[in-house]
This record gives sequence, C-alpha cells and structure tokens, in this order.
Amino acid sequence: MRQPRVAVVGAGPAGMAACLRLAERGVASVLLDDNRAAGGQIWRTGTGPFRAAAGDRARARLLSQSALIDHRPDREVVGLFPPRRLWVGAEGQGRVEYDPEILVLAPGALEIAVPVPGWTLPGVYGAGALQALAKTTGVVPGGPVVIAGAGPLIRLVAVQLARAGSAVAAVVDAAGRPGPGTLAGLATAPTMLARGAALELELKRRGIPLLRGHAVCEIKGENGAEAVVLTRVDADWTPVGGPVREVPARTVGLGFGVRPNLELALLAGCALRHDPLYGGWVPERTAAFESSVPGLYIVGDGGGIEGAEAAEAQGVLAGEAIADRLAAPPADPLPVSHARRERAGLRRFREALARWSNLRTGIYALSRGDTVVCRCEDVTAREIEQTAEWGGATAHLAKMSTRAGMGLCQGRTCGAAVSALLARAAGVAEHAIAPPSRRVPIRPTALGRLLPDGNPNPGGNPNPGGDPIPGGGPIPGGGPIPGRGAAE
Amino acid sequence: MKMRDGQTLAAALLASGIDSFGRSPRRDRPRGPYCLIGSCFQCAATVDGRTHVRTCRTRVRAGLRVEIEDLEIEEGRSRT
Repeated sequence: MRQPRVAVVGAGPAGMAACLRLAERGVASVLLDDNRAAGGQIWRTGTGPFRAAAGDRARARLLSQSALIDHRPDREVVGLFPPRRLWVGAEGQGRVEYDPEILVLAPGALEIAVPVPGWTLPGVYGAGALQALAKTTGVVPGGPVVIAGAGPLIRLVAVQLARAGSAVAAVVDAAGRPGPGTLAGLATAPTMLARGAALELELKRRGIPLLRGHAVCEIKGENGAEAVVLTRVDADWTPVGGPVREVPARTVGLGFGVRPNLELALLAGCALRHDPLYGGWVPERTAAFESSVPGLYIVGDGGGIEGAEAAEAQGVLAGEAIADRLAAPPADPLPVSHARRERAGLRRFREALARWSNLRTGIYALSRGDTVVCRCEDVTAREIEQTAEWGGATAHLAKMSTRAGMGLCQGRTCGAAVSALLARAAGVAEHAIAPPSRRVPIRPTALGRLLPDGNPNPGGNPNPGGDPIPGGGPIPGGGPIPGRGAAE
Repeated sequence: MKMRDGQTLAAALLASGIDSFGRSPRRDRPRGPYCLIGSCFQCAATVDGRTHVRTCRTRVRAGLRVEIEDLEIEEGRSRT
C-alpha cells in the first residue's frame, strides 16, 4: 500500500482543518476517523435544530479536496507504537498499518463523568450522549428530562432537546452566577457570550428553570431513573446541607465538561503537563503543536480544551507548520493569519469560561462509599479509596488492585473520577496522580481485526483477515467472569 | 419491533422503550447505554452471534439478530 507522508487521526474541526491547510499547500494526507461522517462530535451531521452550518462547510471543502485528502471513515485506531506507527481496524477487514513521516492526532475530548448514587441506572446518560442521539437518529428521550452538570453544554443540550420535543424539567448547574470578572473575560468574545446569553433566555422563555449552585446528589429508581434529588453546593462545589428537593426524571443527562482524550498520546509516550484551565492533563506541545515525540503533532481539544473554533484554528496552524517542514510550495497566507488571530482572540474568553465552569473537586463528594465508579467492572468509590489508604495513591495501583479502568471502556468513562477520588482519599493534589498507562488495543477488538489485512493465514489463523469470526471469538479483557462477585 | 433502516440499533431499542441493555458484572444491576458515541461500551450486546458489539455504532438492517441479557424482564417497562 502507498504510505502517505502525513496521517491525521480524527476528522473533527482540528483534524479537518489540518488536512485542508495541507491540501492548500499541495501536501497529501490520509484522514482516519471512527465516525461515518466527518465533523467530530461538535459538527456531527444533523437536521432541523441540530444543523451545524460550520460542519457542512468544512465537509464540502473536504470533498472538494478529495484528490489530496484521503478521508477514511469508520476506521478505528486501535494501537499506536512509538514513535508514529498506527494500527487501524475497520469493519470486515484485518488490521492496516500506517507509519507516516508526520502524524497529527486530533482525538478530541472525553466527557468527564462524576459518579453520583444511581448514575448507573438505565435512563441516565452523558449530556453529550443525549445530544448525539437526537442529532444523528432523531430519537429524543422521554420526559421529564433533567440535565445536570456545569457549563455551556448542559444549557445547549437542554435547549436542543426542548426544541426537538422533549419535556425538559430543569437544568442544574453546579457553577454559581458568573461574577463581574468572569463576565468581563467572557465579553472579550462577544459572539460566544451572546450565544450563551441566548440559550439562557430561551430556557427562560420555555419555562425551564436553571438552578445555579446546585447538583443532582442522587438518582432514584428501581430498574431505571425515576427521580433526581437536588442539593445546593458551595463555592468548591461540595454539597452542603441536606437534599433540598426531589424532582421526577425518567431521563437524566450528566455533563461536567470535557477533558483531552490522551489515549494515543500516552501510547506514543508524549510528555504531559497538568493545566487545570485546559482540562487537567494535557500533552506538552511546541508553538507549532508538535509533541515531545518528534513528528507527532496534537491539535484541538486533545491537546487541551479550547473549543471548536480554536481547534479549527490550531488545525490550520499545524497544517502550515507541517507543510513548511516538508518544504511544500507556499499558498495564500491569509487563512493562517486569520487562524492565529482567531485562536489568540478566544484565549481570555476560554480562560474566563474555564475559571467559572470547569469542574471543582468538591463535586466528587457526591460519590458515596457504595457508589459505583467504574461501570464496566462494578468498582465502588470505597474500593478505590482503599487503595490510597494502603499507601499507594497511583492510578496504576488502583487499576491493578480493583480492576477499575480494566473493563471494556478501558477507563475512558471513569478515569478522571478514579484519579480524583484517589487524590481526595490520599489528601494530595490532583496533579499528583498521573493518568494510568495504556495498552494496545485501546478498544476491545476481535482477533481477526488485529491480524494484518490480506495476509494469507498469518500465524496459522484459520480465518485470515476475517471478521466476523464464526461464533464471535473471545475478546481480550472482555466479558463478565462468572462467579467473580463471590470472591468479594 | 419496528425500526427505521439505517438508524442505530441503540437508538431503535431506546425508541421502542428498552433502555436496559444488560446487567452489571458483580452487582447484577440493570445497565443501559451511557455515552452513545462508541466510548463506554455500556450499550454492548450480542449481535448476529458476535459478543460485545456496540449497538450505538451498529446500523439497523433487516434480519439483524440481537440478544440482550434479561431482556424479557425489561420488556414490561416502557420508559422512553
């Protein structure tokens, strides 16, 4: 197979922009993405209230550059071997390898989950999940719906669901009313501030209460969510006093913001630093977005949470830097200076937003001892905190001793909570807990997909390159182990 | 069960009132989809004999065979 000089992982705003700028400079690239359509999470294809004009424009440009951009949807990167070798899986074929001269990671963000008693009940989702469901399938959740967490996304999801016909009962925000300093910072990006204000106005017009300084401290129900219990939280988002009220809710969306998705950066061995304003652990990057691994660039929210607009700008800037590095012919410099201004112009807004709405550690007091934290392996807060008491507050020890993060999702859902609970139990700062290491494959993958594609019978496998394997085949690390519960 | 061709399996199940997609491994509690973007695996089911298939990433088509643990218990509920 012809190997491209540049491979980009993730077709959200940052990844698309990187490929598009490279194409403007005449540089070919392959764009690998695990979704069916380009756009990432933020520019997911949608209709009606979910239409994203910016996404449609970017997708049209991507198509018009198909001679130079080899967009490969429905591809999952299941492994990365330092410095830049990728294992890529797709439905119905074996593994395909890429070993590009330049690798750009644009993996986006993961929603931060805060384990609350009852959050494992059916009917409780990530706030982003409800948005993705409604956008792509038109299915809106049954009411009453309560959206809880913090920041702009919970407002947006509530409004979009209400427009699509859901009965949204309340929006619950742990953050208080933004102070004058925050408002001044937000006002440095007037269009963004206006968007937020419009959402709050629409909530008001629709009669949906926005409860600031509150959190859902419990979700009640037998076989699914039936009601939420609301409590007031203090400035550190620690729940104060007793529950204040109970509200019926058959669907609950929880959204406490996002953190960079570091899976591939960790596999590559990229150096990290801790920056609470940008989502906690973020990869070290040069001004040109190159990580500590030479030739490996990281753009967009995967490099630190800055939002879609700044992600797109970073893609343009990284594309330009890579084209320079590859000595590509020059192109119109205007998009580059525009991108530089765009990103710089959003910095004060982004930091004010982060100071106001980024998760504060008191919120983890919502996890009680018997609250399940790791959903895949049914591990409770108490079990995780015990590992800290044994004297080893490391995410690795917690993983090894409790299996938290060893299930099918590999810690993508609970990872941030496990680290936060460990830090709290050990009485150390959040940045004292490094993220646990990763292993290939980062997604449960049928063995047939890990074998080289088109390789006749590698290692004596009777089903070369073959997925599905008859009878399903065992999945590494997967599945309930009968009788394990009895060992408790 | 009526499903729209091309819709995701998870969405079709949710739309028809099924929001419990199995039991948790140690505590045997009902579980449903959580992230719906392919990350959390809480929506996984056995599809056409293959285990741990994420229904949020599987498109509905005629003849698809889905097995969900304890589904018969959940069929009495209509929550969506």
